[in-house]
Amino acid sequence: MASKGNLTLKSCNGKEFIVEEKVAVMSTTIKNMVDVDDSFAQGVIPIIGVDGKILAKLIEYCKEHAEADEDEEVKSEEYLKKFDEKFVDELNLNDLYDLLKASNYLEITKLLNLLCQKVASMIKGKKPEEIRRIFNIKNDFTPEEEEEINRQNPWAF
Amino acid sequence: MDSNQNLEKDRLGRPRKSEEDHQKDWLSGLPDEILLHILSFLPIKDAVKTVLIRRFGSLWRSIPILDFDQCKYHSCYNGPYCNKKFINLIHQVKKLNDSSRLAKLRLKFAFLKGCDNMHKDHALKSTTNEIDALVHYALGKKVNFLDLDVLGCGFLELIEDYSVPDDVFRSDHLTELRLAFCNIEFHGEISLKSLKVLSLNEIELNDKLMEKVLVGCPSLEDLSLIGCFGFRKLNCSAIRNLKKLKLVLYTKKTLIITCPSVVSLEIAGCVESARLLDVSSVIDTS
Repeated sequence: MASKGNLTLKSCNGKEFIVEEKVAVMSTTIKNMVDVDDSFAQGVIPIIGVDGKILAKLIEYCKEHAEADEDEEVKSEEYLKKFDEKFVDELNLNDLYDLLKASNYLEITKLLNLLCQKVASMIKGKKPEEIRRIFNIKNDFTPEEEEEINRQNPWAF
Repeated sequence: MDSNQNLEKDRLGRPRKSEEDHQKDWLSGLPDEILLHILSFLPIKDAVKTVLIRRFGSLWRSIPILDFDQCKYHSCYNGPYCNKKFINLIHQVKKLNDSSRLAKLRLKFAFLKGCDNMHKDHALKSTTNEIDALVHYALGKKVNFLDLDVLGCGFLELIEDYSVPDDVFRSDHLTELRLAFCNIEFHGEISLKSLKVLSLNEIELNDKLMEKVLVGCPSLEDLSLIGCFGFRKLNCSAIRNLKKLKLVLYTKKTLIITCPSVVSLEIAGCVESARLLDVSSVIDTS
């Protein structure tokens, strides 16, 4: 069991992480759980649908940001910006996908914004076929269908 | 083309090889709310183009953030260009947008004189009408953040006059307002009770207007006046929450500034002299 001020989070594949409460409550979902039901604060909080690898990533992110919120001197805005950049740059597509879903479910707003921004930057300025290639999208519109959409919305292209 | 070949094969019913392969087609697996969030970070032109990706479809119509930034796609330094296409984009997006509320409207473009020279007056008028209509549309959708810049990356001498619609100054929902290179010709009372951030850039003001602004924005926390001119007095004593005041001004007049609650005060540019009447809370100056 976690000591006072700490919470235990358990991933869907059974990995447990003991984290400081200030780190865990960066997630609005966890914050609400702890606020509503005291037993979560004492026991183990199951994080449904998030595996150990992704949960570790989430905790890494929340730890940096929680510490920065507490002490701007040690972790400045500049430091955080660099951390964020490095954090998203190192993700592969599958991790990005899992983190998007997990941060949405856990309502970690800052991280969700960061990840959505990253995906947006991958789409920006790209042609549809490039977007399909980047995200490995299959069974999409045929060139004929695409042509038809183009014809219906000439102002957009 | 390579990707088309893959597409063909799939349409012929090639079975998916593995779970991993399935996972990788991942835009399709994300819920609408995340896709909308992603679209909100795109300039509107890119967001609209996602209509060509089946999973996105017409989701772009529901985005709560409209970001029309002409200058992302060109440089005004390459010579004059025509706004017709851009204005048409605004028109269509406004027509098709179906979000219940707007969080943000941003418009950045060079409203150039003499665009469409054949029908100059007509074109200018229709551009003005289109911008006005867009701003009214956003206000009707209770927009929180409004950012209008009609200089874009153009040259100041070539910019047409644009007056901000009166209703902008009577919104209960605006929390952040940024105006650049526009005219304020508003004569009524200003009432922006939720406004926290106000930034005015290269705008002609006068003491009376400045006073109306400061009385009409009681919740203001952050005020920036960059390159604004025509006023001398800045009395912020009615705004209790004003923490940040940034002035970048070029004037030969003596400025009279009262800002008792301001913690961070920045005065830059070329100000001949300034009388600071009450700056008792200031901690940080530059």
